[in-house]
Order: sequence, then C-alpha cells, then structure tokens
Amino acid sequence: MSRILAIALLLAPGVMRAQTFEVRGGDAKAWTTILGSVGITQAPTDRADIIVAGSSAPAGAAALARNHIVILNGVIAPDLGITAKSETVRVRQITDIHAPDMQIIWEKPIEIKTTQLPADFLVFAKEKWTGAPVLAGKRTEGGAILWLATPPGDTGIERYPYLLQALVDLGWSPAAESINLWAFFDSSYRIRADPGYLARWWRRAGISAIHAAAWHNMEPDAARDDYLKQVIEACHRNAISVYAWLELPHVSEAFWDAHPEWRERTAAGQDAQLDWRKLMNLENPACRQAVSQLVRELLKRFDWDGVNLAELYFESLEGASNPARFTPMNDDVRADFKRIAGFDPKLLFEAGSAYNAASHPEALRKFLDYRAGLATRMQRQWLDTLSETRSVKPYLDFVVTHIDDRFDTGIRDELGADVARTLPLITARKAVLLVEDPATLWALGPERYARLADKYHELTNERDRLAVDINVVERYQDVYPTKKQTGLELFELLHQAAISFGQVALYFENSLEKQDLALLPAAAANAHLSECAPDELQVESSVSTRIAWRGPVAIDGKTWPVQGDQFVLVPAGTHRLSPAFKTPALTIRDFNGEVRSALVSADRLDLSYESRRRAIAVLSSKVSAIEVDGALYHAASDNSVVVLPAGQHVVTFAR
Amino acid sequence: MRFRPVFFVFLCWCAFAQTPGEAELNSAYQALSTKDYDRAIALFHKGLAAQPQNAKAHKDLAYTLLHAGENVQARDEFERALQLDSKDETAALEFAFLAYETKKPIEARRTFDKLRHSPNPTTQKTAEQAFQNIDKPLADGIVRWQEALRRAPDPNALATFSAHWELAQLAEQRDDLKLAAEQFEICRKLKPQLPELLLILARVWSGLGRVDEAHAALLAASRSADSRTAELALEKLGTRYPYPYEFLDALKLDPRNIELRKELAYLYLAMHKEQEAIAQFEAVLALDPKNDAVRGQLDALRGIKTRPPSAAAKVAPAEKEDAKTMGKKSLQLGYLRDAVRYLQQAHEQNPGDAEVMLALGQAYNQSGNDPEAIQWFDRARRTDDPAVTTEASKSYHNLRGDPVPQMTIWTLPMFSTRWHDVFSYGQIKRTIPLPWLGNANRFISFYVSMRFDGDIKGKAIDPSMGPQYLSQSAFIFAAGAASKTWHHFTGWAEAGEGISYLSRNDVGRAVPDYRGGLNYAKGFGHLLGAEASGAFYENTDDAIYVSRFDKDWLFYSQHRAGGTFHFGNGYAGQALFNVNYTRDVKGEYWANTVEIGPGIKLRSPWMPPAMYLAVDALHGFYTQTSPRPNYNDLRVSIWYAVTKQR
Repeated sequence: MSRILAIALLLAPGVMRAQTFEVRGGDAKAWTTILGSVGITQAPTDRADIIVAGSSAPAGAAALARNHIVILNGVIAPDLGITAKSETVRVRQITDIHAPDMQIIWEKPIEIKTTQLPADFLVFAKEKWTGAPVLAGKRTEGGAILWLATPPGDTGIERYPYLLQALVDLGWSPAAESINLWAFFDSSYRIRADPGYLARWWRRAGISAIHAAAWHNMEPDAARDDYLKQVIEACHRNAISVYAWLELPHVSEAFWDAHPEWRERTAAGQDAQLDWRKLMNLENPACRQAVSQLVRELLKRFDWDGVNLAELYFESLEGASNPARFTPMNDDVRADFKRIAGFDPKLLFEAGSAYNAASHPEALRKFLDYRAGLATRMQRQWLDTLSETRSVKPYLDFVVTHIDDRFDTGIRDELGADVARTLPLITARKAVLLVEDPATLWALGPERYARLADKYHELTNERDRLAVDINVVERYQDVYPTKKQTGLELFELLHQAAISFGQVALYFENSLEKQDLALLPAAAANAHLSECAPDELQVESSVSTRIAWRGPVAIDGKTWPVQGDQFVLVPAGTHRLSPAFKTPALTIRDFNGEVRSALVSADRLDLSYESRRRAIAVLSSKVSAIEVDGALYHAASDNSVVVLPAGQHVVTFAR
Repeated sequence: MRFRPVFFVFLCWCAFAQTPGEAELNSAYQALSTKDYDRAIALFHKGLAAQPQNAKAHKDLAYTLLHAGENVQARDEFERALQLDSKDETAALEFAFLAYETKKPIEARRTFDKLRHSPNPTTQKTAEQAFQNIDKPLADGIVRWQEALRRAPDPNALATFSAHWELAQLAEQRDDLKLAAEQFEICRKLKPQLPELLLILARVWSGLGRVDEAHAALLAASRSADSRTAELALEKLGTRYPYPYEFLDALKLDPRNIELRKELAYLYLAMHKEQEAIAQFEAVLALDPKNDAVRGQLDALRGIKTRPPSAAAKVAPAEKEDAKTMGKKSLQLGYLRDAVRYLQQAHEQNPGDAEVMLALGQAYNQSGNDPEAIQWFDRARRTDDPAVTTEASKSYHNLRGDPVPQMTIWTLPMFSTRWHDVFSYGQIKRTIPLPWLGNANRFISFYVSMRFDGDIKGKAIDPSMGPQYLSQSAFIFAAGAASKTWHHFTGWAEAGEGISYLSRNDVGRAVPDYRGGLNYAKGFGHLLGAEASGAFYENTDDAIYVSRFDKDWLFYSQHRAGGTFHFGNGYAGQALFNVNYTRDVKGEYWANTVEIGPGIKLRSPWMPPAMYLAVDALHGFYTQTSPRPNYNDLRVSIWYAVTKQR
C-alpha cells in the first residue's frame, strides 16, 4: 500500500517537475540559457515536458497545454484567446509582481502591439507606463501556458528576469537542488533579525556555510557576542557551518579609534579610511602582535567551523593614478622599501621629485613589485597566525578570498594582489582559494566563469580547492535589465559558476532578493535526471544533490535513510531512485557534508561521508550512541543535531 | 444539541461585529507569538488593507519584518506609522535608524536632527548620539577629501574624479547641497559621458531651488541613449510636454544629446519653424553623419528629391513612427494643419492604425471640418481596438447629432451661511430615443428623470414667520422632453410626482410636479476649462414654470465675469464677480432679488473633468416688499456633472 502511495506521490507532480524542453519554430539558444540555468535540458522532438513556441502558436496549443508547459514566445494564439490589438506600445521598462519596486529596464526598447489576454490569465509583468501586459500565464489541467509579449532576447537574460519565478507560480518546481552554497553574512545589517528564521531560509536556499563578518566581534561585547553565538547555534541546527570572515588590514572600528598611531596611510599622506574599511598598518610589529592576539581570542571565543582570510592586499582599484586611495604608505613600509630600493616611495607621488611615478615609471615598477611581494608575505604571516589556532581547534577549515588577477591582469599593480604567489601558500595549508571576480569583469556576463576557471586550472589541478565568489550588488556599470544581479541573470551566473568551479560563494546573503532564494539551489545544481521507468529516476551528479521526493525511497535498490519531507539527499555518482516500502525508523533529515554511502537497519544507521570542515547531521530522532570509525564519539545525543569530525569517516548512529 | 444554532448565530454575530481587518490582525499576532513571521507578515498586510490608518499595526508589522530581516520594508512601515502619528518618537527613531541601515543616510540624518530637539530627554539623547554618529564621519570625510584634493598636483585632473565624487556624496549626505552641486558639476566636467550624473545634478539642483536647471538636466537625461537614465528621468519629469526653450536649456547642458536635438527639430517642424528645425537637424548630422533618417528629413525640408530609393527605404521606418508621433504632438499643441498633414502621412504608411484614424477625426473636428471628422470617426469606430472604438463612436454620434441614449448626472451640494444649512440639488436623467420618431429624435429628446431638492435642516424657525421649509425636501420623478440646443437656447418640459422625504405640514407626501422652460447659456473668453489664462464672461438665463410654486413663472439671469488663472501642475482657478437677477410672475418676495458679490472657483488635477469648487460672497437685495431684511450670504458649493453614452 505504501509503495503504491509512494509511486503516486512521485508521479503526481508530472510535468510540473519538468526537466526537458523543446523549441518549435525559433532559436533555442536563449531558451537553453534560461531553462538550462535551473537544469532543464533540451529533449528530442515530441518528448519534452516544456514546449516553447517560437514563431507561431503550435497546432492544438490548448490540447498540448493540458499536459505540457507551453511557452508562447512573443506570439499570439487566437485559439487560446490571446489576440493582438491595433495599438502599439514602446517597451523599455517593465514592472513585475515578483519585485514590484525593482527597476527592470530593457537596454534596447521594443515597439510591440498590445495584447488582449483571456481573463483567467495572471499577469506577471507589465509595461511600466501603459500597464500593457508583457508576461502572463495560467495553469491548465495538468500543465500551464506562459505567454511572453516578445522573445526573451539573444542572451535570454535581458528582458524577463522573473520568468522562472512565473513558471514556479504556474506550478513548476525544480527536481534537483544543490546544498553546497556559501554565503557571506554581515550581522550589522541583520542585528534585529531572528537567527533561527534566517538560518532556516538560508538552508532552504541551499546554503551549507556562511562566512560571518567577524570584525564586529573582534573586541568582546556582550550584546554583539550573544547575537553571533545565536547565529552560530541556529546555523548548526540547520546544517550550516560558520566561518569567521576577516577583512584585514581592517581590524575593527574600536581598534581604529584606539590606535591612531597604527593607522595605514595613503600616498596623499592621510589616514587610510577608504569606503567602509579603516585600514591598519599590519607591518608595524606592535600592531601586528595586538591584532594577532585579538584574532586568536576571536577564534577561541566562538564555535567557528573555519576562517576566511579575505582580501588581504592593498588599495585601490585606481592604483597609483590616485594617490588619495593608494596604500600602503605607512612609515614601516616606507622605511623597508627605502632600505631595499634606496628611495622613499612617497617621492613617487611628489611633483618634480627624482622618482615621480609619471616621469619615472621604472621607479614605480619597483615599488609595485615590492608591494605585491609584501601582500604575499602578509598573507603568509597571517595564515601562519591562523594555523596556530589549529592546535586548539584542529578542525578549522581555512579559506583565502583573493581577487582575480589572472583574467584582469591590471589588478596586480592596482591592489598588489598576485594569486600565482598566493596559491602555493593556500595549497600548503590545505586551504581553499575563493576567487573574487573583480568589478571590472562583472559586466562580461555569466560565461566569464568558465574562462576564469580555465585560468586557475592552469595554476593547480586541485579543483576542489578552488571556489568562486559572485558579488550580488548594485553595479556601477550600465548593466541591463537590473542594476543588481537578480532573477535569470543571477541564476545563470550561479549555474555557470557552479559548473566551472564546484564551490560557489554568494556575496552577500542580505543583498540576495527574497524572490530569488527558492531557485538558487536549482541554479547551483549540476545533476542530470532521467526517468528510467515510470516510477524510477536516474540521477547523475558529481556532488551530493537534493532531489525532490516524497515518501520512502530506495537508492540502487536499498532503502535510503538520508531524506527530509520533500527531498532525498543523493550521493555523488550515478544512482537509481525508486519508491521504497517503508521509511526507516532513523533518518538523517539533513547533512552538509558529502555523503558517500548509507546503510540502515532496524537499530542503526551507518553513514560514510567526507567533509573539509566539521560536518553537521540533523537526525530525525535522538540516538543512544554515536561511533565514528568504530570508536565511541558520543555516548548519547540529547540533541538531534550532531557535529561530526572533518575528513573522511564512517559514523554509526545507534537507536 | 439545542445550543448549536445559538452558538452558530453567536459566531456569525462575532464575525460581523468585528471591525474589518480585526480578525486578520488578531491572527497575525497569534502567528507572531509562535515566531511564524511569514504568516504574520501576510496577515498584517491583509489586516492593514482593511485598516490602513492603524498606526499601531503598521508598527507591529515593522517589528515583525525586522525579525524576518526585511529592513527596507520595516523602514517603510515605520514611516507609514509615523505619517499616521507624527508624534510617535519611537517610530521616528526606528525609521531613522533603519533609513541609515538601508542606504538612506540623508533621511536618517534629517530625522535624527529633528528628534535631537525633542522635549523628551530620552529621545533627545538617543537622537543626538545617533546624529553625531552620522554627522561626524561625514564632516571628517569632507575635510579629508578636501584635503586630498588640496594635496593633489592637479585637483581637476581625471585621476581626481573619485575624490570629487566622494566629496560630493558626503556633502549631499550632510545636506551641504552647494558643495555637493559644485563637486558633482566638476565630476560631470571630468566624465561627461556618465549619464547618471545628469540625474544626480537634477536632484541636487532641485534641492538648491535651481528648478530650471534641474528640469533641463532631467529633460536631457530623459532623452539619453542610456535606457536606464532615460527611464529614471522620465519617472521624475512629469507628463507635461516640454516647450522649445526647455529643450534649448537642456541642450546647453548636454549638447551632444542626439535624441534631444532631433526631437526639438521635429517640434520646430510641427510649429512651422522650419529654419530652426533645419538648424537642429544640421547639428544632429554634425554629431552623427551617418543618420540617414535625419539626412532624408533635411533633404525634404530643403526640397531636395534626389535620395536614392535604397536610402528612402532605410528612412521609412523612422518616418513612419515620426509621422504618427508628430501628428499627435501637433494635435496636442494645437497646430491643426500640421496635425492633419502628419496624421494623413501616418495613415498612408499604416492604414490599419486605429489611433491615427481617431486622431485625424479629432484634428478635423477641431479645425471645424466636421464632415471630414465624421468620416474619420466612422472609420475609427469600425476598427478592432476597443479603446479607440468607444471614443470614436462617441465622437461620431455627437458630431452627427445622433440620438444616442445617454445618462446625465449633475449635483450641486452647497453650504450657505445665511441659512446655516447644507442644500443639495441634483438630477439623474436618462434620454431615450424613440424608434418610431426617426429623425425627429435629433431635434427633441425624451427622458426620464429623478431630481433631488433637499437640505439638512429640513425647516427653519423664523420668529416673524414661523416654521419655514428651506427646500422642497423631495425626490421628483418625472418624464420629460428637451429640444436640441439651438444657438445656446434649450427648451424643456417635464411632468411627474414629487415625493417628499419629510412629513411636511405645508404639502402632502406626494405632489404632482410639472415644470418646464427655456434656458440660454453662453461663455466668452478663457473659461475654467481653457488651457490658457485670461479674462472671461459667462451668462445663464432661465425662464422656468414650476407648478409646485403656485404655478409660478420664475426668471433667473446670472452673470459672472473675471479672470481665469493656471497655477501649474493642472491647478486652475477663477476670480470673478457675480450679478444674479431673479424675478417671477406672481410677485413672491423671495423670487425677486438681486445678488452681487465676488467669488472664486477652483479646479485641481485630481478632480473629474466637470467638477469645481466655488465660493461666493453675495449681498442680496429684495426688489419687492419683503418681510425679511436684505442679506449677506457666503456660499460654498461643489459642482459636478457627468454624461455617459449608452
């Protein structure tokens, strides 16, 4: 009986878990981008779940829509009651119900005929000034119709950012989701938010680790420390790890105020308060010692899972051309460089000096090379300082966030960032390099990640030590359709980044639009699904992936115990999912490591896993004992959340 | 078992007894108590839709949104709570803190600045601290960047752009708009290619009261080649179409703006200023020599017909769009000959365009060529565009004088200081063409009508005359007929029954009512609906027979003269002088008066088209022996009328 129920539950969603599409009469390129960004792939003719009609409505569109999702791609369909009026409207800005305040502007305006839609169509987006509908749809018996006033454009992401959200509103939901995203978190934006609420949302969005701004807690402060502890606890309860995110040479506001004598200086001779960062002179031995002590204490004071040493180099993106932003120019650096090169680098910025940068580029070159070397030296020093804490917390994972200078080679001179020198330091400490794509590349589109990844794969073959950061911020460039990456653009960026790098971080959780969260894990997934029998699904994936599933499940014929109410966590590789007879008495409802295998019996559950950092398992019930690699780990767990050791292990949960 | 129906009734009573939205708000608080924030937020929104004035609920929603990390929405809810209760300093402080956190530092600083002068010492202390926390870094930053620029070898070199930019932003955040404007202006000189600078300058100049410059910047930005800048500018620019001098001001700011220059050229063309148009087209070509559409236009203006066919084909789409646009613009501006010419051209290019047909009808109608207009309205009403067909059909029948069923509603609520009473007069009238009368329907229209003539007091007690009714206090149901208006004269007559809504001691509850008469109405000069300001004169004369007034004939002659003024943004008003003369056949004292005195009429853009507010201060003389003394009366009234066809 329960098997029948399980099959029914699996099949019930039908086309609404659509995984394939077909374009009839039109270019499939844009749709490959749009639908591909959430894992929907092109299928042979007449076998797809989603039919995109390119030039005219397909014959029998109404009948087709009964059990397919039919997308009318800038076409009218009198049979469906979609007719054109004689009046035209020039569309340049649209408003969408998924983000009514978001300015969605088309770079190239289009003159279209306004369209009369049937009353039962839900209008998702309208032209800003006339209210003419441009994106609408309705559910049908077992499918849906989605109508667009125009084709989606060459790139697929230039007109309807919330097209996929509209599909979700029409009943579609993704079948495969990643659970492996990282996100940056700055508590100053969230200090009054409920950590438990945030953590639940993050996990739903596929986040497995957050990198929490640690400079707010550099000095002990009861209220701020308490909030951070609550955040860490809430994250752990939701299978999310927490990294301490450091932004040295910014230490903290309090440290800046307390030590004006250790402040970094710009080439214009001023204290280096640039944007929000207040930079300190970490080359000063006393300053370095004081900061080291603070960092060590910080890492001890909280239950971190790792540390992210981020952006430890110099300012600014304008390089030496803007002395008011150029660092370092503190006394220690000046003295050290003078000792090596024979002149004070300050002279580079003095008009008429014998070393003026404009007239003596070779002098500037010397300093820029010295500066890049200094940045690497500082990174080594601080990685060593952090490594000392591993004597107390050996499980701490290290991440180094570093701006790219391989793709945009000007970055080395502008910031002193030289990733080719930094990478060996990272590799030696078994850390992860989190590549930040510079703002200069943001306008290049999603395909930049593949090219960026190629550049880094030339430097290292340890692909699992490479990650990439997507900056979700309002961009200063003329970008369309939205200033900030949201909707389709974000999904495509994330999809390409996930394919190219494996590990993706999002900067930052607060800048993500809420309407995007539900589809982020689908965009980050890299799994291929196929239906191999009416009630069986084959999943191929290189990492553990969340697959939508309700009811008991067997993987490769064996009852599988790693599943929640709505999904099953499928390990990497090729696996066959089928309905099982009974849900095991003990299950792992969520897990943020890499599952290798799992066996379940009446009184125990064995899980083989791998994780760079401590892994977190959320169990369906309390257990009487936990063994790791055959040794007792916990006599009993009062808690359904278990933090497991980093590395490759077999853990046994006894009921 | 017996309690069940009672309980059910009680539940129903509870459901109905609750204030709308109360149930949702109660459920929202329940959801909040279980930390189900998403549900609580949805319920608060539902409850507030029914109780938008509930400041406390707005605040509680704001706090819930804070729990959910939705700081921007929380800020907006605190702002709404503050708008509803401006004395709520907690909401003000919360708003200010959140404004700062959500990148609205200017609003935050201003709010803290205001609150630090609060009489409440706690608020004062918190606000003062917060204000200093914002203001001091801004002040320090301004000094720092000024110093950085002072130290720069060339403070106006391109490399200093970011320093000027930082300085300008800090100055604007600190409300030092003069410094902000100065620095943003330098930024624009350094990087004129940044279109968003026009928007920023418009904002800062507007803050400084440099309204014309701000408008010019917005106009230039609205025609920017950068779509985002253009759209953002349009949002701020308003709907009024700019005058040529405003285009010229904008071009001074942004001389390389091709779209702006091209539009000005076409505007000149529509205004018959061909030399000016040619100069602008030439300037466009100097900037964009490959612009074939403009070259073609210029050739046409100069009478050169040597364009090769391929070039003509290339410019065709641009002309097609321009002809329609120019035709509509010309019509809007009142250049009717140009409008007809452009619209004819547009019609040739796209014979199916219903909007063009309608516009042609309107252009011919306004030119006085009604036969031609009727033909175009007829064509337009047969198209498949519902919006156009409705409008065209109405105009078509109106012009032909076709008898079309129509509903007219007018109302005139009025407060009179003389009677300390509110009176209201009104009528709902439905004309019904009678099919068997054929063309006679064009000259006479039959209707059914309901009039209302009443007041709030019902009756006044006059020591000298006893109780007196100030109005008819009745609904008058009638059928009638009216002639077609001929040289401003209209005749009418109706017969019906007046049903009093009061139990009166002077007449019965239902009284037969026969009335009719002749009306003359004419206005001269710049009446209230006119687009331009100027002098006006209006005259209304009526001869009315009313059976209810002892079968009396009344004669009214009302005269208003004065000036019409436009105050911008659609506001208009009249200052006028009234002379009203009333006489009757039976020699009733109340029907023989002269009233004189000043008055004003006001119209605002949010009012429906046929509505205005009138205030008249009148002195009245009885022209026959009267038991009452002459009087002064201040009348405040609202006139509203609407007619719908079919």
